[in-house]
Amino acid sequence: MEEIYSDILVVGGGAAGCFAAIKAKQNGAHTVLLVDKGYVGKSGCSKFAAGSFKCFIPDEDDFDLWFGKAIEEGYYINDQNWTKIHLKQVFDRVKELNSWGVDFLKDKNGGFERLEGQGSSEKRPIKTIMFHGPQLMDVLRATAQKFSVDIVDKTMITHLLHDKKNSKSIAGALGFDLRTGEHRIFKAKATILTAGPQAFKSHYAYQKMATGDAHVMGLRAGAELTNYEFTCHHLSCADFDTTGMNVLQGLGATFVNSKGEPYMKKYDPEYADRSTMNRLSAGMACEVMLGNAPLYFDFSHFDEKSLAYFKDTLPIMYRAFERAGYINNGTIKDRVEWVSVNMGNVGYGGGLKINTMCETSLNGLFAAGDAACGPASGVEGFCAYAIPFATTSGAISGIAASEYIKGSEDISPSPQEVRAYSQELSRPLKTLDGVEPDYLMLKVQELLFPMDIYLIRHRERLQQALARFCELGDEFVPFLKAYDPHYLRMAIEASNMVTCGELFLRAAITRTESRGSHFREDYPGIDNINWLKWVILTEDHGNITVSTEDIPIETYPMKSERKKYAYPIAKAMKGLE
Amino acid sequence: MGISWIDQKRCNGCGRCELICPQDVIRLNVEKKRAFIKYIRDCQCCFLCELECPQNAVYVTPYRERRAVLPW
Repeated sequence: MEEIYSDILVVGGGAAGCFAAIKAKQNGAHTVLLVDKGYVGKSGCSKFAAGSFKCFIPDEDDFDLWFGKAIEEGYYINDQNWTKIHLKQVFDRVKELNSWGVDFLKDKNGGFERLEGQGSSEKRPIKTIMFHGPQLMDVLRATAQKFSVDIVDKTMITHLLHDKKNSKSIAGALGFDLRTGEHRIFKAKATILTAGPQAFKSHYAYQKMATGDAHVMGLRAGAELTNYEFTCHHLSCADFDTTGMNVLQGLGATFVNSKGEPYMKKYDPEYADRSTMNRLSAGMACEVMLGNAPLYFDFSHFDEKSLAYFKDTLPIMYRAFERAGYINNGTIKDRVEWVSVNMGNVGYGGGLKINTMCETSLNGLFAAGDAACGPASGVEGFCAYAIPFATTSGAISGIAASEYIKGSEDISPSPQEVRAYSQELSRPLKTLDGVEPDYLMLKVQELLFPMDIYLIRHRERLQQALARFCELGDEFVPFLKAYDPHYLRMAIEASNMVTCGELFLRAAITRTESRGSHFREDYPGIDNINWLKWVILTEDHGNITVSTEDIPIETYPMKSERKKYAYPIAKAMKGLE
Repeated sequence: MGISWIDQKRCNGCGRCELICPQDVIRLNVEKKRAFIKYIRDCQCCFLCELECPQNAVYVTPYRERRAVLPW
C-alpha cells in the first residue's frame, strides 16, 4: 500500500481547507498535503457559495451590534470567545482574498459595496458584502499551488489513524483513489479536517458531496462532536434544488402563501421576510398547518436591473431558471413554489467540538469550517456566515497545526488500524449480494425530511425515527454493496448519513427545551435555567454516547438571564389557534 | 434527469468534465476519446461540466434523477 508523508494533512479542499493549507505553509510547515474526494477548486459547498459574505468591517460597523446579534441569533449557544475572534479577524481574510484575486463588489469610492440581506433591519443593520461566487475556489486553488501546497484530487479519506505509541494522537489517515480504488496511507504529524458538514443529500442545491465525512471520521477516532441537534433550515424551489435565496431577497423577492398574502410578519414582526432561516422555515410550517400551502417565492417586484444582477451574481442558478422556463425572454415568472429544506449542518450546527485554536479533543487533530461545530455562530447565525467562518477558522487551524508540529515527535500510524480499516474499505466491493447505497440514502431522507421531524419535533416521533436508524445501522450498513470505487464512495457516504442521522436524533431527544432551529412541541420554552449547555456526542465501542457540558456563560461578555422564555414560533403558533 | 447529454460529435475527449465533476458522474472512454455519463443518479445538476466544457458539448437540466423527499 502506498504511503505518503506530509507534515500536515488537510482533508477537504473547500475554502476552509485551502486557507488551512495556505496558512500552514506561510507559517513554516515544510510539506502540506491537501486531499479532496473531488477536484480542489471545483468541489465542496464553497464552490457554490452564492457570493454573499457577512463581514464585520471595523471602520464602518458597530462591533457591539454585530457581536450582540451574533449571540442573540446563536441563542447563547456560541462559544463567545470564538465569535469575538471571528469578527475581529474576518475583514483581514477578505482583504487577503481580494489581494489574491477574488473580485468583490465595490462602490464608486473603491470601498466594499454593502447590501441588505437576511438578519438586517433598519433598526439593526447587518449588511453583507458581495464576492464573485464562481471565482472564489478557482482563486484559492491557484493560491494554494502558488504557496507550494501539494494537492491530491479524487481521493477520499475515510479513516483517521492513531499513532501506534499513543492512542490519543492522530498520525494520519487512510483513503482510496476514486478512479483505481487503490488504498493509500497518509502519514502526517498533524491532520486538519475540513471535509464539510452533513447535508443528507437534501433538496438544496449543490451539497450532495457534503456527507459528514469529517464528523464520522472524527467520531470513530474518539473526538467529541456537539450542536448536532441544531439543523440548518434553508429554502428551495419545490421543483428543483436552488441556492442564492439571500441574494434574491436582497433584490426584492418576497414570501407569499397560496392566497397571495405575505405571511412572515405574523411570525417575525421585526424582520419579516428577512428573518432567520429557522423562523422562515417554521413560518412556512405554520402556513402549511393553516391550510395555506402551496407557498411561493414572489418575484413580481423584479425589474430589468434585478434580473441583470441575478444573472451576474448567480449565473448557475439563472441558467437553471432559464432551463426550467421560469425566465423567458428577459422576464421572470411572478411566483415559484418554494419549500423548506433540512440541510443538516451546512453553515452552522453540528460538528467536531473545537477550542479557539481549532484543536479537537485528540492530539494532532484540528477541525475548521463546517467540519467544526459552528462555535462562532451558535445555533443559527447570520445567513452567509459559512464562508466567512471557513476563512477565519481555516486560517487559525493552519497556523495552530504548523505550531503544533514544531514540538511533536516522530509519529507512525498503527499498523493494526491500517489493516483493519483497509479490510473494512474492501468489504462493500467484496459483498456479492448486498444493499445498494441508494436505498439507504432514500430511507435516511424519508426519516429525516418530514417537517414534523426536523421542524416541529416531539420525543415520540424522534424516538420512532431513532429506532429505524438503529435498524438501518445494524441490518443494512454492514451489507452495503459497491460495484466499483464510485459506488464505494456512495456506500461510505450512505453509511455516514445513517451515523449522522442517529447523532442528530440522539442530540435532539436529549435537549428537552426549544432553542433556535431546535423546536420541541413537547418542550416549547427556551430554558435558560437548565439548558445553557452543549450536548456532547462521542462513540464508545461502536455505540454513541450522549452527555452535556455547561456553557461557561458567566465568563462571557453577554450573559443571558437564568430564566425560561417563550419560544417565538411557539408563541406565534399559539396566537393562530 | 440531471446531466442530459454529452454530444459525442463535439466532445474532443479533453477530460475536463470528468476531472471536475464533484459527484464523479462522468467517465472518459479512453479508446474513443470521448466523455460519457456513467453514474446519472448521482448528478447534482450543478452545471459545472456544461460551463467548463471548451466544446459546448454538455447539456444539463435542473431536474435531478433521484426523487426529492419534501417536507410536506
